[in-house]
Amino acid sequence: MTPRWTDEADVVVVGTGAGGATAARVLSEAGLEVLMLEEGPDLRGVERPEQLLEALALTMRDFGSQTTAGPVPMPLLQGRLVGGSTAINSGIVWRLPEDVRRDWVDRFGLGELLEARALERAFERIERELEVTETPLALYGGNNGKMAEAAARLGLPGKPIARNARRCEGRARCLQGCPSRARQSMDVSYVPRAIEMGARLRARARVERIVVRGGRATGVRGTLDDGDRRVPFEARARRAVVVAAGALHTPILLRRSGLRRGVGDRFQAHPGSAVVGRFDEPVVMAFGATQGYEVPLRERGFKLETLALPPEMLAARLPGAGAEWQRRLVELDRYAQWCAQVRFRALGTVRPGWSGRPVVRYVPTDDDLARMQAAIALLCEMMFAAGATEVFPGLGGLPEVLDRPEQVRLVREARLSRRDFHLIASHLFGTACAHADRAHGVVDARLRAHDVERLYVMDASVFPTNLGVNPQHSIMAVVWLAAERLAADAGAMRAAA
Amino acid sequence: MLRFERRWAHDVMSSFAPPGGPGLAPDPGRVDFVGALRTQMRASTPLAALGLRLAVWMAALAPLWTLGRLRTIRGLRPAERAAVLARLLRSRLYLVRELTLFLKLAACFALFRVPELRAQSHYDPAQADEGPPAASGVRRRLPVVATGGAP
Repeated sequence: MTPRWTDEADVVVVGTGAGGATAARVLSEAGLEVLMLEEGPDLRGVERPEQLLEALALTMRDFGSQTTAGPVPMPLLQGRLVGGSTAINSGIVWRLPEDVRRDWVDRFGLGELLEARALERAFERIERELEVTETPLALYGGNNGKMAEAAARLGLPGKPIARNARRCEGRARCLQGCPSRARQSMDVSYVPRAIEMGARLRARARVERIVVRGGRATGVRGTLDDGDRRVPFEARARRAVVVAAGALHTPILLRRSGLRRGVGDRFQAHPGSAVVGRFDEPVVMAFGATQGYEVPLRERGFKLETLALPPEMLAARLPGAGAEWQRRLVELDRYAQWCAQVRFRALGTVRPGWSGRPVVRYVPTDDDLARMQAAIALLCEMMFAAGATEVFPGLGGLPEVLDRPEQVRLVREARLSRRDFHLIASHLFGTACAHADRAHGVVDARLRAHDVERLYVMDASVFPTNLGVNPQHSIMAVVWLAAERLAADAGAMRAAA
Repeated sequence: MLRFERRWAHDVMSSFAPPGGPGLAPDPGRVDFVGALRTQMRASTPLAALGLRLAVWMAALAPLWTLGRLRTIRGLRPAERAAVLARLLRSRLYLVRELTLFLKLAACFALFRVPELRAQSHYDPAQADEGPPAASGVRRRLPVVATGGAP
């Protein structure tokens, strides 16, 4: 099909999430002409809908209904708008844990990229630019405050969450889009910064194929969503194509463009599950940082954190139907919700389905589920320690409501199957694994594709393993360093030309 | 969705919080259940949209296969409808449980789009300028008031 819209730049970046926006920001600053292509809408400067239904339909890929395949599907949440998932998450900032960095250097040969001092420099720069601070007490609200109380009573290592939201007003609407633009998601930080430095942005541009000529990536092709029609386009890249479409769609794009070996093979995640508690006094989940307090227990393989829900989701999470449920619906200010993110060890695959959508095959191991069960039991215990009068563990095969602390034992000791858990995942990794050795990786230690020149992957797809902590900051720092190398390479190319 | 499916969807979704019940008991005529469901179906994957449609059939015909009564959920009294849905939500069959939960979530999307219902839920702080109660042991301060424009 003849493209009806064409453009050309030094570097074409596919995706504007944590990876794509950071790459665009670094490359633009280095003087390269950058074109950013984003499949979703550009909602910068637009008031996002407060109603959850409309907000999710506008910003969440497939309304959050993208799931793993099989009889027990797990929802996989991703943003689909300028800013990617950073525009719908809580802005949590965690540096790449040192044990993970060492593992990647030792087992995957990524020492060239992950030199400790360089990584620290990138983290510091990003933290400064995105104004990262710990959640202040004033923004705890009841939901975060209750977890802090529970952690203190049980002697757990709780702490306020570091976020890129210094001017947060505690409106607990991160999921719908920060109404005060306080969270420094990519749509309000690195995308505009890249544009200030000369980059161009084209939203509603779905990239369907990377153009490869003579073993080199020379551009991308796709379609623009022009409201009522789709317009084919081609964007040519003089120096490089950077793919940053996320761990589900990056491998699909690579496979569609002829790359096969290892692509989509090492899918990993941090599945999560939530526990709700009812308190006699008001908690008021609607005020405070959406996620402002955490209890990191990486040695046990999980991390506990608060998560304020919009009323629609909180109401659906409360048990029952009819009178019992209706009574609860007029006291939504009495509930707290906390969740567990578990570092699962399972490996899965991502492949294109018949419709072109990703098909994710991913089966948690028994050990993964055991750790999830332990995490949920600890959350229940914490809820009671904070003073909850009822706790809803959200597990099949167990009482819907626990009303005595002794009942936590039921959760801890139950024999549960995968069908008894409500799992959901938003941290996805590994589907274009970085490895210095071509035989084991899709990209090398500079995030260059092993099999196609001038093609780079710069998102969580390249992470060889999951992290056990929230990944946005690590994605940004790793991409920062890789983009600096790319800029240097492009400068050398230009000099040679 | 066909016309009878839309009617079934309304019957099922309005039965989670039937009128005349305690607590939040909206007049079903004031809540656009079907509109919310259709928005959700349009924005979802084809498989998820199919699942929602299947869920409507499953729940609408539940009296037949859970109570052995030859009628749809419309033929039951409001309290009976809610009891049937509560039973589906507790089902040992994963698919039944999850599909019903899907519908319950869709019903919540519709319910809380109505400002009066949202206000009745007490989800939002009573007065924004007063601030919410802080957890005990945490010093209470008022929410930060934005003084500048968006960054």
